[in-house]
Amino acid sequence: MNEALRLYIGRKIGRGQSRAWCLRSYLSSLLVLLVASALSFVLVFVASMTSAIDSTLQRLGSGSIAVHEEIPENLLAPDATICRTETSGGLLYSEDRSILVYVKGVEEDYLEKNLFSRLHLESVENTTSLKGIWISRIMASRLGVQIGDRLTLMLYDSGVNRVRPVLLFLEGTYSSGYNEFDEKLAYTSIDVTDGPTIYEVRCSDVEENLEALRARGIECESYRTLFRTVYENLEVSRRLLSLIAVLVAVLAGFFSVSVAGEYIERDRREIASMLLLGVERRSLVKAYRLITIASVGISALMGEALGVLLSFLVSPILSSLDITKYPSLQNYVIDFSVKVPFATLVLLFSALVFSSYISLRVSLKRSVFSSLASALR
Amino acid sequence: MSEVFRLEGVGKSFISGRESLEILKGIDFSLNEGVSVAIQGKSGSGKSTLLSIMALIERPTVGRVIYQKVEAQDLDERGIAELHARRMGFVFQNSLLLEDFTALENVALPLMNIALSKRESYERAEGFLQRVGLGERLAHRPTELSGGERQRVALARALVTKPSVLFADEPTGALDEESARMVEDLVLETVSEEKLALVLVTHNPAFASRCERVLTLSGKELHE
Repeated sequence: MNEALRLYIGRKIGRGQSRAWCLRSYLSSLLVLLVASALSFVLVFVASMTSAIDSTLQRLGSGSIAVHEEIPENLLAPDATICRTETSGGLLYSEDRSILVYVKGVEEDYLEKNLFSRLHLESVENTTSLKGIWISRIMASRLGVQIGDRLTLMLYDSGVNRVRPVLLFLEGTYSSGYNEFDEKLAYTSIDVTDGPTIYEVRCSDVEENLEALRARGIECESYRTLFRTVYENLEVSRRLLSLIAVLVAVLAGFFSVSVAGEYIERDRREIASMLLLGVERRSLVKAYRLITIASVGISALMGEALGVLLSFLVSPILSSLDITKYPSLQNYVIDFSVKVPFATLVLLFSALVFSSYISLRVSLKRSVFSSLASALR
Repeated sequence: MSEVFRLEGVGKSFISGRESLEILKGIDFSLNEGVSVAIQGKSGSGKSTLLSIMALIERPTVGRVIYQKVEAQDLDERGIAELHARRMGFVFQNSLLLEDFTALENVALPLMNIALSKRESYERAEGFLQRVGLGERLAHRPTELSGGERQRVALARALVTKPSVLFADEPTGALDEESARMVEDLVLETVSEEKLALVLVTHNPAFASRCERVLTLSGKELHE
């Protein structure tokens, strides 16, 4: 690229221009910045929420893989852990209220081992001879109980097909941020329950472990199969939103250039003039490619960075929301750690820059290259 | 004197709706180095179209345009760009200056485009601007210059690469009488000093009469 084009590009992107010129000329870039930041914020939000739901399904469901028979640990990858659980249904009673619960009987170290700090556990030491129970904060509020209170569980024993009452000590509460579980899942000692046994496998590579188990003829299901509807809904929402985001980006790219159309129109004679000075068309196309990348690309990049930053800022605010007050949020995990979907953001960036460039190139061809003579008049 | 370019049997038609509108027909013309030619004619007679064909801005519908034994039809985009950059200079009624650039940058740009260094380009551009009496206006942008001054910058830009032909389409058409006279003098003086060929399209008979040849375009044809 020769000095003339370098000078031309520099001037067109604002080098040596007045502040007023830059403000006027970069209005369209501001639009790109706003669209990119809004889209990337939504994408980050959805990716983070999807990932949070995904991990919640594994954490509170039946692990990454639910196995229906005892298995030796050496069958699985080294990072996999196995926990024995029993599941049952029942009615949980406080003094004056009751709720239907799904009870998971777990071993003593289960909560510590699997639920981690993400569940915001609160507990007291159980100094009674009663077995402990853990319920969600939503359930505690519905039952009107506090940690340390006594609860009666009417437990259905599937083996003998009967209902039996158990007095339990409310040892702790949790909050997963995901209403699907918070509304009905309670934990108690495996000594209390008498339901079908499930061995919960938690691992990073679900597919690999699933294959290893199936190869041995062991009956098992991944959390994706167990929560197929939830999982598929999530996947569809995520893909749909990414697609919509990219389409909006394409439209924004075209729109940004159409907003800048008046500048292209203003440049029309200058471009024609450059052609008369002997600058080749392809050099001018290259120059405008750089101008587009510099103006649209930089604003798209800044917009995406702003969107990601906003997600990090908004995440703690959302986490602190009491979702019981907002029914529309109850099917979402709003307590999540931010996950940045880099591939989708790169796609968004490319869509914005590419559509702007194509639009600009079409404008160039239509207004100047098709008839240099009329562009000069 | 050697020939700068030649037109042979040039015609130009435009498609208007379903009809073909013929603007130029059977034009033969040649221009030698250092010769100034004025082309006159009524509005809409095709003067500017003819100049565009001569300057390889648009292609004729029929006929040949030959630049120093090379047929324009055989030239690719790069070849035409090369001719525009080194062999031709242009001054139009609207000066076609780059509005975001200073007078100095406007004149230096064609030099930078033919690979001269930035420093050399600015030095030579400054010399040309001084020559057209704008030595004090180097850092001014076109919007800060009068119509006459803009045309003088355009003239400096057209001549700075030392072309062999200057194409001027109504260079004084938008100027007041005094500025027009000054630009006329400047065009003719510099063309004569630089021994350039000049193709001038003008409505102004007085300006046209100062050229060595005066041609009239009427009835789609060119008459001496």
